[in-house]
Amino acid sequence: MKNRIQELRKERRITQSELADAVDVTRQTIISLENGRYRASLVLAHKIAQYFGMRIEDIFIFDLEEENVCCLCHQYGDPRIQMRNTGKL
Amino acid sequence: MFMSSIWGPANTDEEYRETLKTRRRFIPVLMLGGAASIAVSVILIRVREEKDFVAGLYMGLGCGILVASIILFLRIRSLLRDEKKLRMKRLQEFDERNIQLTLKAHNTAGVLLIMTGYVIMLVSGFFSMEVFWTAWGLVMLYFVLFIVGRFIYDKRM
Repeated sequence: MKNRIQELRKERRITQSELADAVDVTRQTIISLENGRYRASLVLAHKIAQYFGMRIEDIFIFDLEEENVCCLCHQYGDPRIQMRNTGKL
Repeated sequence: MFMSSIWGPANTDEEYRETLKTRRRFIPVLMLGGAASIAVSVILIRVREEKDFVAGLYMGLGCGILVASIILFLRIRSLLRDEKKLRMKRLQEFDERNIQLTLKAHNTAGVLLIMTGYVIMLVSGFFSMEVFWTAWGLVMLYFVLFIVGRFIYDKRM
């Protein structure tokens, strides 16, 4: 799962330590999140989204193929999922 | 790390303060354990009238536990007096990535321990039945604890 934490953080000139402090984790966790080596829990994702004033799905990009849920979009025909999967969303 | 897995997550500094106070209440028990080891060691030395390996081991263990409990007491006292240190320590201890790391390390250590126990069981059968039964007991105990743990957590989650 990719995320936009680094991008948003740099946009707003926030340091890793400041973000870590705000969401109650260590700086190392933020580094690992930004590098994609660690996946945030739902609680942490929620805290980060709240901190940036955005929705979770706008920060954490759910890769359908990576998560093996591609079949769902065909099965249920959700246009949003199909569009996101084809890069149109 | 071990203590944080026993005394669950503290989400706020106040909760962590309470967790530390609970831990502090267990320090006398630790000290008692250390003192008991030293007492057993002294008894062994007097009874056997020689300083053998086991007596030395008990003495070392006892002293180690005593010193560790004093260090723990001082560290907790220092954390309780300093808000900044307390927060830093809480973040470090209950950071979700650190918890995941600890769980993974526990998992790997458990699997490797069982594999080692199994190898010891296989090899020891050739020369020592005592070692064989000890290894067998440990491997079986692991699986029993694993099944009990799964059952308990299955009810909770």
